[in-house]
Amino acid sequence: MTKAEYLSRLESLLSCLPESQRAESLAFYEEMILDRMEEGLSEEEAVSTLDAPGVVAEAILDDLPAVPRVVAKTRRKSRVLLWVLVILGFPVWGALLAALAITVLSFYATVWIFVAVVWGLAVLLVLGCPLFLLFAVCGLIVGNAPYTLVEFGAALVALGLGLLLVRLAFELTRGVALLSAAVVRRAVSPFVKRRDSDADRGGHGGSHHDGGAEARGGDHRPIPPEEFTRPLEAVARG
Amino acid sequence: MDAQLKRGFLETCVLATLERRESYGYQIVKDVPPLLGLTESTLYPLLKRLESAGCITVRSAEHNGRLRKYYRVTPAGAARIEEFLAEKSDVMSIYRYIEFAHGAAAPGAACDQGERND
Repeated sequence: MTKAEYLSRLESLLSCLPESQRAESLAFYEEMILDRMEEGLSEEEAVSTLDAPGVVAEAILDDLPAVPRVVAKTRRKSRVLLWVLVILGFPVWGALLAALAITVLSFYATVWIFVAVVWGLAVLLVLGCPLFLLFAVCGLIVGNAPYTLVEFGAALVALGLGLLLVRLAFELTRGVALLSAAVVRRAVSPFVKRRDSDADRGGHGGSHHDGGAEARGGDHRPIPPEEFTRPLEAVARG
Repeated sequence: MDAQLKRGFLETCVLATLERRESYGYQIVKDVPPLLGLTESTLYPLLKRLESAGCITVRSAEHNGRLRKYYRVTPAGAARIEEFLAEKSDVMSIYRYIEFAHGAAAPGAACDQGERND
């Protein structure tokens, strides 16, 4: 088999993969063939040292995580079948999705209602202070000393508690808002495409073409671990 | 070698090879001990797995008018090698247990658990 034949056979076996993954796989094996040819093997010999295209394709497909693997293998058989299954399954996954969404939303609303209640209590207490002061003044006018003292005390307590609760409500609001933002960011991250690869790989190693050279200095010296970590810590400390 | 054992060793072997020096695909195949039976079809998914786990980084560089991918290990990858080596004494103790248990089943004396086929 020639190099071109091998690669085109492999390409057709991997046709169910997205373009970038397929191209990456082909590039890897082409590199292997060329490296062997550099060592002196002829093209036919180089190709023959590799596993058969079928074996290679299976190895690549088997290593996909479960759901993409099923998708890729189904796509291999029939794209139409895949879409039919998706549409037929709608009553199940549609209902499940709706139930999940409603649950999440009601939980979220509950959290905010709790925060609103704390705010309400705080405001009531703070507003209660002038009311108690008014009663205290009334008591003063009437001449009832104990009553005046009690109302005055109550006013102070109301103000104090109210202010504490305001502070608490403020912190709670900020906390919930920050938490919401963080959760939304994490929930969206699998769908953010950093390169043209599959969504499920987008979260991890995005270091494909940009991390290597600039972050690590890009030279060929063998770098033992200690040497590697100290400069990074120094960089982190600024 | 047992297939399960091989899988366990291969990733760390590749990591250790890359830790020694930055390398490319074919060179890795040549460096890794042959008794592990590393082929390209095993190596490629393995490198992808290591990359998405953040244990190695990739860069492309020119070589003889074509692009070649060079892999190097990250601190996380180096840490994984350390973890693997730290388990060595545990692994050896398992081997000793198997040897002991196997030796204790003295030939002819206690092996009546299905070794005889009469």
